[in-house]
Amino acid sequence: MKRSQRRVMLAASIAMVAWTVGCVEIEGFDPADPGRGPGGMVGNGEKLNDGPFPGGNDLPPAPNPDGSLGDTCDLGCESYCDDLGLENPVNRGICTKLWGLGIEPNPVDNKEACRRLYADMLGRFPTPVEINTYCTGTTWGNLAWKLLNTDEFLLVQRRNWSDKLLYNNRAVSIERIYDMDELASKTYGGYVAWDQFAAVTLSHPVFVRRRDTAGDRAEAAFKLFFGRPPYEAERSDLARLYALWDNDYWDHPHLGTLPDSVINFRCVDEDGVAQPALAGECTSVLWGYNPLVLTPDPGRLREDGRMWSGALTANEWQQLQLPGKLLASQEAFWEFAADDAMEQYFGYDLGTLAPDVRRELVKFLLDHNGDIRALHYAIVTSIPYLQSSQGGPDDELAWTDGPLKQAQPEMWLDSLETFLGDRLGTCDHRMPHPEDYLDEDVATPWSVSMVRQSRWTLNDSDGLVTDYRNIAQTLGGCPTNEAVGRFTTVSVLNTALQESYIAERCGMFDSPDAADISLLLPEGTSATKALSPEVAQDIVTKQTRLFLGREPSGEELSRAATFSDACAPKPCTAEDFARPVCFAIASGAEGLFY
Amino acid sequence: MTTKKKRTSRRSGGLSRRGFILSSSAIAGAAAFPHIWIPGRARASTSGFNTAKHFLYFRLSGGFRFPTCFNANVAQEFNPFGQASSVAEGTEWGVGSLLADDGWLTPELETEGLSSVTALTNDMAVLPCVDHEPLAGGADGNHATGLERFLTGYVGGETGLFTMINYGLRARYEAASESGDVILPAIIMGNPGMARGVGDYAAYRPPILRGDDLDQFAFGVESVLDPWMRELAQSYDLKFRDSQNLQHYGKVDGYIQSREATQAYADIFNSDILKIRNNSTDLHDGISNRRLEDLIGNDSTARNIRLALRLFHFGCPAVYMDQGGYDLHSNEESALPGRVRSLNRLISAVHQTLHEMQHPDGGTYWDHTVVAFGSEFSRTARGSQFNSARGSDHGGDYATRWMSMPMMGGPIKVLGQQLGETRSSDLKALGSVYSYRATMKTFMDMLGCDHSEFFPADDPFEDLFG
Repeated sequence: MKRSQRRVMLAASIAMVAWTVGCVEIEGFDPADPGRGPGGMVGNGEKLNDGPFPGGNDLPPAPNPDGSLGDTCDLGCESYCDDLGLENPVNRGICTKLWGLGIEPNPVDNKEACRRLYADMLGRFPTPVEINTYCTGTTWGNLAWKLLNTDEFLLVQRRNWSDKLLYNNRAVSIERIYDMDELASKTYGGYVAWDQFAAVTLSHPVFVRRRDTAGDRAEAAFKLFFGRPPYEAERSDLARLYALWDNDYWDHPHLGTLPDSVINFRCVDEDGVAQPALAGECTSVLWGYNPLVLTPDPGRLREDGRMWSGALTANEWQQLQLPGKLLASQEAFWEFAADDAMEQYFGYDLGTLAPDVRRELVKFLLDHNGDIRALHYAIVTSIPYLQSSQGGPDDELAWTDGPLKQAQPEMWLDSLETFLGDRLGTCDHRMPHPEDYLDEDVATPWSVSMVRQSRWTLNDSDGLVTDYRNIAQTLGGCPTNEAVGRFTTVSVLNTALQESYIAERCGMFDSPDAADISLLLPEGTSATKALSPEVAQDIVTKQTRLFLGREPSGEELSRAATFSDACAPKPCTAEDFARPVCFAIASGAEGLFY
Repeated sequence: MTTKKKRTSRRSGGLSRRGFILSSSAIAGAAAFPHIWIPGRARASTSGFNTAKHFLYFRLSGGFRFPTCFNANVAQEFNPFGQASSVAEGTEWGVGSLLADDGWLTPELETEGLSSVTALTNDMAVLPCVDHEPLAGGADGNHATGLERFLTGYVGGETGLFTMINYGLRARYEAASESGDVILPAIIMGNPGMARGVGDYAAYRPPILRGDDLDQFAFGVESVLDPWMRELAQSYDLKFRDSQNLQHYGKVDGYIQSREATQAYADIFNSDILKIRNNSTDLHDGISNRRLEDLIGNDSTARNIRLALRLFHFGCPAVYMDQGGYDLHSNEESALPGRVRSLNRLISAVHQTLHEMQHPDGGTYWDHTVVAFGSEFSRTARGSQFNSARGSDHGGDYATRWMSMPMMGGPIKVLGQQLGETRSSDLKALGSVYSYRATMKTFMDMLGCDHSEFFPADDPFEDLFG
């Protein structure tokens, strides 16, 4: 009798027991929090760091008067940087390419910096109140720490990981997605160290179930945490640690058949006993001798001799996290963590352009117990980040002026919803196909309840409100993640959609979704007030603050007065002028780039 | 505060959103779309090069069990529903009994000219063995990677197939632009992965349309903007662009150019022809929007098809969309017939409509259009007719591996035939196996694309052209 046949028979003999065990495990389904998986087993203690990180309040130093303004930092330049006493790791790392060479950064206006911080950290532009309340009279370090500790920051990072892992509730179990999402939340909340996050992620069913073969998983692991594909030797070696995983399905008592991962117990003999002679195909040897062999527990096996991953014990999960632990033992793992965070904020590969910055950030991250928040804090409080994108030298050095990025679709939409009043609803990155739980032929009270308690909006008859998704998906957001995720682009159709949406919200034509005029007028100004150059200037001031988070320039005020005269037919009211101004400012490039 | 009435009367004459778009600039030039384009022959082309003007590509979503419909003369474990008892004369491929389901064919639709799919199977060709990776040891039965292969040709492919089409036709677009014409690019109505593109290809990413209601786009926003309003908007854009550091100038300028370009498309997208829900009886290309609805139907897929056929009028070379949901791991036995019934209606309607529509370049759209159906993979029940949940799965076997792709349209010269064969008992290939990449490259070839940069190991094949 073949080994596999014997195992199947063994499994069949205990099938009833196994199913009983399985049933016990799923009875706690909570539609509000359906997460189930290894993410729930970590990050349940204290935070890795309590207070703000150091380095948030470096003052811009004077450039080295003896700097060469060239490419090379000589001994004098290095000595100058060493003596500056900079605390921020990005500042320390960039010094030899900036102040040390005698180059000055491009100073930033307080409001431009505030807008960038909010956009990057909270995923939306700040309101005038926030700018005046939180960005004034404080340090960037204090503001960054405040933003870092908000739910909105966590949402931005959770969504970022949903893009990286391509959450799709048709390809992987929704329970697993929720669990992974919570793991990301705990990690960016400071409860899980980065190496532990990687270890759990790379053995998480959300990750392994998305790939077909062990080799595919190994390749994806490298791309995810090293930022590069593996060499063939690396791929085949790491693949041996993924040999235990199979893709299959699991029948959820309330949600139907869910795609999920199972364990196949390769590398043990026909009696389920680990044998050194069989361990080779489950052993990595590239970073030391690292076998990964699980032995079957007959009480938890399915009829086919495999085990649903939901039946794994905490100890078994830990063993399965070996791929991530091995990758995290490599310097490249930490370097990519720094590079990836820099890409998120700078929009370009500063780690390659300035390797000293990368090195300093890695050290900073390790000094803070692998708390990924340390990287984010250091970057957003660094002087290279807090530069203006406007003006500055026309050199080819990316770090001598501030970044300028295109707002992601959700950021753009959410900001406008904040400024002009919520109308559209939202989408939930954990569940790109909510219809699968609402359609008449599949819906159960549990599944409907789960959607109802997600970020999706349902109408009174439990129908999905899709306005937000329809716009966002055309623009590249709310991805379904079937094969590709989010994208941002400038195209004719996108631009046309953006113009249309803003024209509607600004009330350029009859629509129930037009913003209330009071939002577009200065306080105390009536919609019917006669338009004058002064009123026009007040309107422009109000809306420049609202949409762009800054004060209007003298030129803009002067132009407002001029255009108020162009308004026709006369006499124009304040509203007649305010709505076109809304369209002009909100649809402009400044509303899309930050 | 309710002050909207007075406001709208001033700026848009009290028009609704739809109204303001309809009132915008006229659609002169929309009825005919003259352009002269002399294609250069790409390397490794077929005799079918540049014989098709349009390509309508459907993905049967979720993994379609092809032998139940399109390679049906195989063992019951692969096609538990059996073969059709009667098919159109000249049909050489295995027609599944599911395709004979004409429960959708009401007397009214029959009067309109629609017929059972089994009556037009001689107008379809089938490639029983289209394979993502002919040299691989097994099928890729994973949703994510199978779909990536379907959309880009590779796992992790960076260029979507429809991006390749637009890139391959770049000379055509340039020629049209130089002569002052605007022709629409290939358009995505389904999974955006078809629109991937980076580097040199990024500029050729096809636009993605969600839904068929073009009112969501502001191609008529000019009609509610007085000149001073547009000037005001432009002044903000230009000031912001000019204030940027040189490194960022291009990003902002690209957006400004895009705003200007929307006006170039305004005539097309404001056209009454594209208002496919307007119930109009005006004839365009020999058929009215009213009749399109009668023939094709009014569910979301049907509306997408109606819009796609209208987009073809404006030079759009290809439209991609997703249809159905066939990932039936359970209850396939009871659910699949109903879903194929919808597919049958679609096939019959598209077939009839293409024959009715008159192409601006002469002949009917059927003469100039290729329609094809694919999926990320096929399905298996691993030796049984169904799995334990009366459904089917996907793994690494032949049953998963072979996409038996049906296609139809005038440019295909082997209609009614099957190109390749599988052994009934185990689906082992007995004839030609076509790589998916080669198949897509053949479609590109038919459209006249320069595909020389794509899939260097896969050449387009001659077999579809007799």
